Amino acid sequence: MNKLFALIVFIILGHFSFGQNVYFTRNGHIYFISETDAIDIDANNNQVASFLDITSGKLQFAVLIKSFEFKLATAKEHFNESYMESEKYPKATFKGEIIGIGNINLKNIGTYPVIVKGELTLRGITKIIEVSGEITVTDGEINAKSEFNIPISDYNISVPSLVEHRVAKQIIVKVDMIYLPYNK
Amino acid sequence: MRLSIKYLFLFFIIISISLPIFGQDDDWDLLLDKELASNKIIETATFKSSRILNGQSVELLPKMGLDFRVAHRFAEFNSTDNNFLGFDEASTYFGLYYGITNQINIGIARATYNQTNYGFVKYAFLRQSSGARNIPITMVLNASVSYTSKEYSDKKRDEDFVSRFDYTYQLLIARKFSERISFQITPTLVHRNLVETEDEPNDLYALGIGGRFLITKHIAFNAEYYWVINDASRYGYNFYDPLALGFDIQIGSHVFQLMLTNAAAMTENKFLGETSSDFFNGDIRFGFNLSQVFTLGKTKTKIKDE
Repeated sequence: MNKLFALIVFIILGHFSFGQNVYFTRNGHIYFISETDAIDIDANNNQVASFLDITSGKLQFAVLIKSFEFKLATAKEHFNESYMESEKYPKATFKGEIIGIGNINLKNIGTYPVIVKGELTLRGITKIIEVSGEITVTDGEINAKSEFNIPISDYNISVPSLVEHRVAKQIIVKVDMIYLPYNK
Repeated sequence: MRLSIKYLFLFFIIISISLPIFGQDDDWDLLLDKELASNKIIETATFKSSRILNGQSVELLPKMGLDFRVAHRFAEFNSTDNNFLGFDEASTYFGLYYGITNQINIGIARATYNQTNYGFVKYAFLRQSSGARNIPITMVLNASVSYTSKEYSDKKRDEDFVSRFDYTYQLLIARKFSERISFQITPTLVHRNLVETEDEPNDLYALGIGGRFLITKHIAFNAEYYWVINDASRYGYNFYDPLALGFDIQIGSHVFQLMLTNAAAMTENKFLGETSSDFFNGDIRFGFNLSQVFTLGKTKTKIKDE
């Protein structure tokens, strides 16, 4: 009887303590902009899915190329068909971790500057990137933000010479995620 | 002490059972893919332009998009001996189309064919979507009005204001089957307030069939045929179904549509009701549509916190 009681206590404790380590969002926000003298072209995606493990510092993102929305007419068509080839490579992913997660405790409320390193896969090409960001822990939710540049040449994105002056060589990317505890 | 070791052992077993539930990397891959599968995606670029070739396509301009359109149809290649393959004569069309919202577009145009003034409203009430909502087709209503401003020699005819109006109602139904292949069918009603002869119906029914095949990223082959069901050709009049075969060539925000067609007019009421050249008799003309799309206002979105 005693053992059974202990077993139940452990199971409950086990779920409680481990359940809170993994955070998740399905509507994270990624914004990017291509800035040139000729034109600024930007896009938003509010359907970014991501996991964050606050003890191991592991982070993973996945996003569909087709769900980026543009304001500029015809930009979405060019982005999907010409540059990202979304029919062939429908998603972009990032797998990485927070460097030095041992030095911070994301269970405590506060704001923490972080460096995240990992593999960014676009158009089937994987590159290691290292970006800086900021994690803000509040009661019950975690906000992670980052801004970084992606050189389009890293991912073999070729721009036709006629419109070369309209597409930036470096794309500025802003990531803004609000994670909640993951409940399976 | 023995008891606590036993408990510790039990504790580890429970941990090892519990852990896999809470997100190992492999699980994350699967779970994230599952999330992406439920993304709301509205299919775009079913066609490259707001016209397949002669007729309207399901393609709409986004909000504040402005499409400046210039189109020409030359004379038939075989029309006379000395007209430079028909290029000496042209029927022209200038239009401005505008996106009020992503779902509602309006447009105005002037065509030299019978000095036609033309206006339309297009409303996309169903968009081909995948993910959270799976909708297999796009449906768009198109309503257009045409005012023929040409001068008639008959004074009575010339002064009959109402007789100069035609109305066209179309339901555009399209599906993008893949990045390369799209089809559209277009049930159409043209109402003409006045027709030339008693044999010609005021209400003309037609069914359009069109499609595209994307050859490269920027070049598509398009074909478009309208079956005009009840025209007066059955009484021996020279009316033919409009057919067009052509290419879309896209350069940045320009689309050039180059085509071979038997239709001289570029508004629905006229090319459906008044095409008098027979494609299969070789009465074929060259034509083009030029489209330049602008975005009014800022091209950038506003981003919240900055």
